[in-house]
Amino acid sequence: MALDSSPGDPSRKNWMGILARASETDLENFWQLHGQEEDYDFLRRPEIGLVMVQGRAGGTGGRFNLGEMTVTRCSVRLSDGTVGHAYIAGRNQRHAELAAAFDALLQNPERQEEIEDTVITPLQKRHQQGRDDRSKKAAATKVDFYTMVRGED
Amino acid sequence: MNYSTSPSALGFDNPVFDATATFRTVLEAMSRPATIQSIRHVPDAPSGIGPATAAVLLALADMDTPVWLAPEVASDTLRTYLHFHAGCPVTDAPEAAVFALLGRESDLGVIDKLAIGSAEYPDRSATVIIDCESLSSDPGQNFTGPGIKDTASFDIPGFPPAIWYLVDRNQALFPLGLDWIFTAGSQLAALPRTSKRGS
Repeated sequence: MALDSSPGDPSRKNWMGILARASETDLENFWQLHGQEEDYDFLRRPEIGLVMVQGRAGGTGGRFNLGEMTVTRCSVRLSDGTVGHAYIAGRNQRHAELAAAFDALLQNPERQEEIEDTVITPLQKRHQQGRDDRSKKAAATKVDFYTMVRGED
Repeated sequence: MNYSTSPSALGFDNPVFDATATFRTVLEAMSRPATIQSIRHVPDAPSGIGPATAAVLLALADMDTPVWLAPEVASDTLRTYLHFHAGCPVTDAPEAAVFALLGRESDLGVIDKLAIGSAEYPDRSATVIIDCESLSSDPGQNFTGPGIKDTASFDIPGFPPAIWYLVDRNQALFPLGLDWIFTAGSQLAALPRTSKRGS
């Protein structure tokens, strides 16, 4: 999946994706630990809207509209003027707020490494773990239909 | 156009209610021409324009309303602000603009290029927003017309008198023509195309 990123990738795209896929509880806990003393204003309060998700048949065909999904976005400005944005799936406004606040913190070169190590990497691991667990569970139910081959005898 | 997508100034504190309240104030100003109204919930305005101007643009401009900015007020800060908070296109062509924003030192010549609507669609005309130093209801210019009981006095201290010539000429175009919004600080007054200047 193109969205999946390699561990330790320091790009903003990567951390925004990880923050968006994390759970609100995790972000809340990490914020208590690492962002508590930061103060921020809302450039754009969390707002809920719809975006049209498009797909391609077989991944290569023509584009078609798959359906609309609910998205919450938020932008915050830290007291030093750094602006952070977040777009998350679903309607969890606090999640969008925290993801935007972390995005702003991560743009500060002095804190970037610390937050990468203590927040982004663990979140990434947790997300990967969840995916692996689901894949294993799904793989265990795989059925081979080799008896269904026609045209023999 | 390539500019930063993060504005330095905040928008309305409460986007839905504050924009609605500002809309109501503009409606009041347009229904009672030449009276000075105050906008109660103004946003944090970017440098170069007043809080009332910012409030009017945030409340009225959206992706369907191209905004033209006079060179004196057009800064990257303002473009970014409008792009982020209002989502409106900023146009370089005055004739395509639905809103035209002028500053106190802007060249009024551009007024002639703005859309005045057509006989079939007089509503397809521009609204001019002029960011002034101050507004005054002291006897200055007198106006009559729909929404004014007898006469209403209104003046823009320190503004070039040429504006009144343009207002008169615009009024003569009725039912076509421009509508005017004058702002200063957190106050505004409006002159729809129906308001006629007396002696």
